Amino acid sequence: MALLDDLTDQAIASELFTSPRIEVDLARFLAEQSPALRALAARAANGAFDRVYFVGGGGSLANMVSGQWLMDRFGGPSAQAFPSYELTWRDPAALGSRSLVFLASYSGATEDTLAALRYANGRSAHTVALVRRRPSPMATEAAEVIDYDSTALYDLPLAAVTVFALELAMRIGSPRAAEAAAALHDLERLPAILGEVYREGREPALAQAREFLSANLLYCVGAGPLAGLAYKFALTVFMENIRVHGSFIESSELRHGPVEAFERQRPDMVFLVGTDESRGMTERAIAVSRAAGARTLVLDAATYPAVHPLLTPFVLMIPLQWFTVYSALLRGITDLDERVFMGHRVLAIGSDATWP
Amino acid sequence: MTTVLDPVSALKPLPVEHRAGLDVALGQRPEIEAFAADVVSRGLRNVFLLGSGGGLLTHEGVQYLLERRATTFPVFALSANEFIYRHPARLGQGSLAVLASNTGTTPEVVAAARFAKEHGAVVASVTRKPESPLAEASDIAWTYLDDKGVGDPKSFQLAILGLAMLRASGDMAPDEYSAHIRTLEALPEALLVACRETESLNARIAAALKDEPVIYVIGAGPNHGTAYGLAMCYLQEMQWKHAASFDAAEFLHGAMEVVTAETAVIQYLGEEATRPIDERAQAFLRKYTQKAFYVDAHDLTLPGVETAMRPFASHFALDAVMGRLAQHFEAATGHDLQNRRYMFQVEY
Repeated sequence: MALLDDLTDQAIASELFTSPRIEVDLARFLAEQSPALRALAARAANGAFDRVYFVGGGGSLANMVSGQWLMDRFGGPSAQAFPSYELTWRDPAALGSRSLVFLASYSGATEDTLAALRYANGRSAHTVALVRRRPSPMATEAAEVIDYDSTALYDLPLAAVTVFALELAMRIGSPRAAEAAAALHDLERLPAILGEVYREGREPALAQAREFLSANLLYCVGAGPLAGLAYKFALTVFMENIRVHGSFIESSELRHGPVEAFERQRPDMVFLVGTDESRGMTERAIAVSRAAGARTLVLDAATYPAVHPLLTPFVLMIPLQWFTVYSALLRGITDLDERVFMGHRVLAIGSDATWP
Repeated sequence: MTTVLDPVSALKPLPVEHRAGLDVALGQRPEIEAFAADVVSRGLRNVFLLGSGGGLLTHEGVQYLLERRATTFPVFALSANEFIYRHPARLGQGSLAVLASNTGTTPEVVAAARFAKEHGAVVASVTRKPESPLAEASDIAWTYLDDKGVGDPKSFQLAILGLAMLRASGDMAPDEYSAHIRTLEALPEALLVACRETESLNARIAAALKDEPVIYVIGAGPNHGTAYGLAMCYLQEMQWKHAASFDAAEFLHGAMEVVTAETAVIQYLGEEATRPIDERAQAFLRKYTQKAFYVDAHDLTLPGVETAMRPFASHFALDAVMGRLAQHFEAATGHDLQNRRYMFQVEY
């Protein structure tokens, strides 16, 4: 075990594994950036914007999707999430000077998100860059910058759009304002809870990774507030970091096709179970998958310290990261920050862009 | 619970009655236009496009159209269950919910129609039979009876609805509207030609990939729906093969890391404004895998479609060609597309 322990220590210091530092990083982020996000919500509540767009790519789209989810639920200006290049090339006629556009990019220089920022600026939208740090091309060119000085590229932009949407709900008198207030209250407790979940997560994750070591294809299934996180792990973590085949399935879509494929090759599936309204459907998806012979890893928010149902993505991110770390290490992928293609500029266009 | 039908040994012929369902949809245009004008005149605030599985992806064309063009009302596409769980705050008076389901019996789609109506929305649906639960739960339903042709009548009905709403709201000029309608009227024949023109390509794809353990399917813009449909409805559901679909823009944000020279990919390239995304992903695939196949709308003649309208037509064409590929897979694997273990077999 000495080698695995050494590699785990190395992983804990890696850029990929953000959970070891999330307790400190989230607390600091909320303290530093909540005032700016509240001010933005106040402007939105006062009618400054008629549309809100949430834009990013891969892991930085997965948290932006949650921004739309929250605004759909609580109200305010109509909101839509787009992959960066889809925004640029779809060219929505409604995007203009009364649009608020959040754009997330860890490096602040992701080619497609930088292009989307420039496109939105060209349409006179109010652009907000969610980036790791200044200076970066996006931080320089956006109207406003929320920088988080952390590797937590999923959690902290997610926290940003969560604070924005919940504050907006309170200010516009959403029919669900009480729910928004409860979630905001829990957000303050969240850093300490995440620290606890991280410290408890190591041992079960090693056992889970061993059980799924033979997996060559991992479906990641979730719904409601957890759909974005499931998408993130299928697309940008299982495929990118464990380098196995991956696919996201929204829980209620499982029975509309995917389950039929289980006859010929037993699938390996990771289920994210929330404590919100989608819980029942995900439980049904687990049952039918097990009946079809699937090997299932169930990460159930109800088995972790209680948080508001809208905040479960923050919690389940941690056991998923632990599982990923051990799954990669056990497969011989010891440098968790190395990629085959990403970051190597295999197609990057422009001297200031870093992707892919 | 499994019912495995006899192996299919030959490619099914293209249908003789290839346009009956599409003609039904085109014939409903006056009724759909009147509905659109009425719903817009009464103060349309937002549009929810709802369905599950194949019904959900049917909306991708009209979703793309409205996201690009509509300025007076936003559009949201959600799976039926997600719509109910999320219970959007903007749902209410002035909302239009549009539901798509071939059978009209999918429980969550019927539930979403009822949910939308209970919360004040006008409910319209596109479905096969007028006596289905979905049609009965809707304020208005456009049906097309039993269609076995080329192309999906639902996507025509939805396109007419979207175009008519854009015209009624002032986001599309009458002459531009007419050009889109002329395109729809030309498409029934153009889709059949597109299927004929791609018979060889589709046969090669099916022969090459019939034994692949996992197939990736990618597309951008509305053709992400084409990719989703092939992966989920045809390869997973009807061929029992593992498959995954990605928006081409997203494929380069992580999924690309699993690509080797042996990774099986089918890419649909359209002629919409989103084509640069397709070409970006294609540039990567050409370099790093030997097992990618490209179905490109540029290669289709689309007779009767004006050059300027090809970007509007290409999604319909790629969808039709994709549907035909499923029949080529059926012939290559011998696995009847009608085989189901769960859907329509068990309750869950």
